[in-house]
Amino acid sequence: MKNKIKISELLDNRYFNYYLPIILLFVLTLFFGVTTGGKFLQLQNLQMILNQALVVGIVATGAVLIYSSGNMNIAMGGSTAITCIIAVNVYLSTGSMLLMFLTSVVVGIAFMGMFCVLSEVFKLSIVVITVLFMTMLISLQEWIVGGKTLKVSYESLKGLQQMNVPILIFIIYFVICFILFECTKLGRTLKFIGENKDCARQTGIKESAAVTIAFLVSGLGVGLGAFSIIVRASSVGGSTAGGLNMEVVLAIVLAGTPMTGGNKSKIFSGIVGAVMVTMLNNGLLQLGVSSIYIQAIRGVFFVIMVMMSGKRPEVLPVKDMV
Amino acid sequence: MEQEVLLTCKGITKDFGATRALDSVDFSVVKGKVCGLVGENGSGKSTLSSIIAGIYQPSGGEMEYMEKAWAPKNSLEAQDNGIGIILQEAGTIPMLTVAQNIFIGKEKLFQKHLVIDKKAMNQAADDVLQDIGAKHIQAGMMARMMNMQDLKVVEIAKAYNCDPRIFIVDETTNVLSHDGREILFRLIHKLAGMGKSVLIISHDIEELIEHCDMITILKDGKMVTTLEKPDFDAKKIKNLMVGREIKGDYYRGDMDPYSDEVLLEADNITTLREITNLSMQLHKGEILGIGGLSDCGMHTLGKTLYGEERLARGKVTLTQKNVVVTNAELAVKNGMAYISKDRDRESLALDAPIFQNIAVSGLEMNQHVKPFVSSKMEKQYVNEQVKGLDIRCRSEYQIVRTLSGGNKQKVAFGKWFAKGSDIFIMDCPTRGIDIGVKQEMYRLIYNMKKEGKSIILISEELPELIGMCDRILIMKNGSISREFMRSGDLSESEIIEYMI
Repeated sequence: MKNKIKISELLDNRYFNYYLPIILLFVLTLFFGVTTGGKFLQLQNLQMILNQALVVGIVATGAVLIYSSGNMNIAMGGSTAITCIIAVNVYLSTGSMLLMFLTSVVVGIAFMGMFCVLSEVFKLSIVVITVLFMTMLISLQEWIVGGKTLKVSYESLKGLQQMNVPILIFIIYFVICFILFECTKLGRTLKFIGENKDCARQTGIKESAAVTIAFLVSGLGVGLGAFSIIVRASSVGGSTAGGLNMEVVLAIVLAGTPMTGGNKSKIFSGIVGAVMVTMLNNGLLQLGVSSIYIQAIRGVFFVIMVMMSGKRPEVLPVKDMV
Repeated sequence: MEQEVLLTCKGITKDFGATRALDSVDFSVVKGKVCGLVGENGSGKSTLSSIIAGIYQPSGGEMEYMEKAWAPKNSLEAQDNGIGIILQEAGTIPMLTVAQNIFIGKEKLFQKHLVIDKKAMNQAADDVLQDIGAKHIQAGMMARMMNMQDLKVVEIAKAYNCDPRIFIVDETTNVLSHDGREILFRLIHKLAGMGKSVLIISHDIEELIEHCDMITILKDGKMVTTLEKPDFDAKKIKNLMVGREIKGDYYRGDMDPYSDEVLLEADNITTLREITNLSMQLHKGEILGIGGLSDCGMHTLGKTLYGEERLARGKVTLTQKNVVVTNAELAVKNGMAYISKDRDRESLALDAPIFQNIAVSGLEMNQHVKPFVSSKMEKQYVNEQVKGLDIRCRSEYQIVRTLSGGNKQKVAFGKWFAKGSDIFIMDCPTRGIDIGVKQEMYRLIYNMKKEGKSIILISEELPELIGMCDRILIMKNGSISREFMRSGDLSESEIIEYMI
């Protein structure tokens, strides 16, 4: 009983609550480090984990802004894939790396902007719009690419790969998102909308404006994520960014941002969650766990984190609060 | 005559973490009696009733119900054993019909093979509603389409349908309309007449004096005393509740005038619901009261003036700034503030800390260098309100949901005080808060008037309107039926005539 109280008090502590995902990440690292006899902690392995998590991390970092307002976007994978295809086609027709980069960014932002406009025009929830687009974009990807693969020559991307451009992109984008989310009005507004839309409106907050900015910023993430995929893989096919939709949701929630958004949303959820998911896969594989069980273990983690993020305090007032 | 005790609590203690909400409370529920439970916000009344109804388990002590040990694991167990409770918070499911809400968990009663006979369920619900005198509510109506007052009546019907031996009503009367209160009290006396027991928790002492056979007073989680009907005296009960003497008149005593300058004007407004061809003006430094029966349109008027309701005709104008108020964003930008009657749903983010709830109104103001919000300025912005309004909390990071009603209301006030708004629309600002906090609220409202702020005070309590307002507009059927100026001679009976 005594222990139970202590745990609940700890979970109520705002600092502990905020940094819990990072603590879990360290615990997970330590656990796999010990159980794999140090193999997991080898620099090469950790680098591989980070590289694998990077694209999900970039896209999910932008998505945190959307999720914090209690909205969802489950068409991020499809948007990223189509952005990749358009950008590669631009490169193949112009040969310009800069144009490919700019196209990625513009198309990514345009996708998210389009979701907001459609939501406003058709008076539909933005979540519904993204649900509709989730399947439409995947079909479009199949239709455009089919069984083919669009390739960018390794030679032209070699320089960017050696400069670790995807990591640089992530760092710059994370700093932008961190500033917007933690230091400006935007992040505070989005979190408050996630807490209570009616109260936010009555406090003079214009939800549609804040959510549109969140979508546009996340669109930048989609564009940068798409560019990073091209740099890393040098090619785009029918399965590019497949599964990214769910991986983004999984990452955000695993790292402690509630599905309902609000005050507990954390900007680092995207990257920490992405690393956590990759670590789980990598560590469990090294321990010889079958991939079927890995999916199940990921599911259990997901459920635990959703439960923890949805924890509510006891509701009745107590005497020293009067 | 010896009284038959139905339920006994002995030495009940309840701890929430490190805080003791109830401290060795002895309490009895007598058969066939209506018992009132009073105390300041956070005195432990709701905790005690929740323990009896199985919502919480006590940390110490024991209970006996119908001569057997009583330790319900949850509210369903309590309900199955004849203890029904209507809670302060909403207890209906919006996406279900009235009938489905009343018979939730009892659908099998209407099951024919694998299908629920909706017609039979609706008929049975209509019978229950008719039985309690709420014929105006349709069994097939969706709960989300109904107003807060009628939803509470549905909860009453649901609790009544469980045939409770002990019927607990936790601070419900303050959300009920005049008709709703009549339904509830008629039912309460009917149940008591049938030998059932009723436990009412309310801040309305006069109401309890009128309807209860005994009143138990709690303070700081401890039992103070239980008074029998012959010993009832409002002043004595109030003094026992707060542990100090409450001065008889806690409203303002002055007749200070207000300026002629008009700040807000509604010009012949008609909304899509309730308000018809209504015109009114609010002056600088004025406390303007709006009263009437709960469904007269006064709550809709408050929202309309703030731009929260769509207008079919007419306009609301901030005359000094020549701004037509069409939405809340515009209203806030031009110095208006609104505190909803439905505080928990509309005026607060319950699961966010006090800090976030107050700081949200100052995001523009607390920027040293745009667009960066200064944490230091923000902290000062919040702390000034926490201290100034004496919001009792562990820290400014305490979650608002865990605060008592009075302190929640202070947070809702604090958000707008900090911003320095000029026009306040307060819809039932003292609903569900105890007399101690009420006194503080009245003082605050009066101080605001002195500072030249203008206040629209919408209230269902006539003494509050008479005691606090410079001018009172009484509404009936969506229009203003009469205007009263502040006067020492104004009486409730004079006003009621224009309400009904």
